[in-house]
Amino acid sequence: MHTYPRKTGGVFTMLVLLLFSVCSLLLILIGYHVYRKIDDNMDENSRIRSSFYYLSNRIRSDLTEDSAELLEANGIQMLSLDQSSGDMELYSYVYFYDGAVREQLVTDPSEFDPAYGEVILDAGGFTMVLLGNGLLELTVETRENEAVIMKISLRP
Amino acid sequence: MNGKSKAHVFLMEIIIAILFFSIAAAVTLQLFVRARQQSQDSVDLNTAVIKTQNIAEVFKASDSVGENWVSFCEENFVRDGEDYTAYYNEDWFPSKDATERYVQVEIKREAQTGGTMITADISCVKNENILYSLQIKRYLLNQ
Repeated sequence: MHTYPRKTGGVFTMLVLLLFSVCSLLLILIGYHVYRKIDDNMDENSRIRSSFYYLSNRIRSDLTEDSAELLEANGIQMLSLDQSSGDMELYSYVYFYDGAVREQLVTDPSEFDPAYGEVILDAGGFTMVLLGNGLLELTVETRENEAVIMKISLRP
Repeated sequence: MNGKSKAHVFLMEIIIAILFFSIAAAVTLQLFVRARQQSQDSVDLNTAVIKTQNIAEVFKASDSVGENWVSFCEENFVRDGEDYTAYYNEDWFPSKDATERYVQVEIKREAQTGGTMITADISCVKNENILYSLQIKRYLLNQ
């Protein structure tokens, strides 16, 4: 009967052990990438969808075709939402500042300070355009530089 | 027990471990593939909802549903009678060569007393499966 030298048997065993370790490591790496991709997708989906729907609900309830107005202060484009009720005058502004879409509620427009706005969505950019026919277009640039557009038809 | 049989036992142990590992790896990889597919499906659905709703908003805002209403959409629509179709590549960017992903708008006009009811069926399709669809109606008074 042919027998392998003891040294060869030991090397083979170690090779099998190495293969086992490499395969385990690969599986862990694949799992890590899949998990990260799923997590990124879920995060992107929920962040953009919930923020967009929050914004669109606010805009639909507060703005009409005639009242929609895009303002600009210190080079920052802002959408003004009328929040006044009774004697109380409130001004709500939606704008992009310091890597985030923000909203700020003030009682006097002179109190507006972009840094104090409540963050709605972290983004790479945000633009608002009134297209005519009562159509408002919001474009969010994600952190991966993808543009997500939402159009809102304002009430007459 | 001599050294040779010890090596044999160790080798057998490793082979059995690899066998179990292979079975577990096969199951795990299947789960990974399924999870990734589900995640991709959710991205596609999210994109389909946004695209479909955007078209519906434009349709709703258009004064008269003539040819120019599609100019407010960012889609590159191809018109065939009252049907409009826009094609996308696998990353949902507009593409004329792609055929697997598309948004289709079918417009039907129904004359009624004093006006016309215009119905738009908007569907977002991937591999012949409808991801999301919306029906929107507008009633236009006769001028």
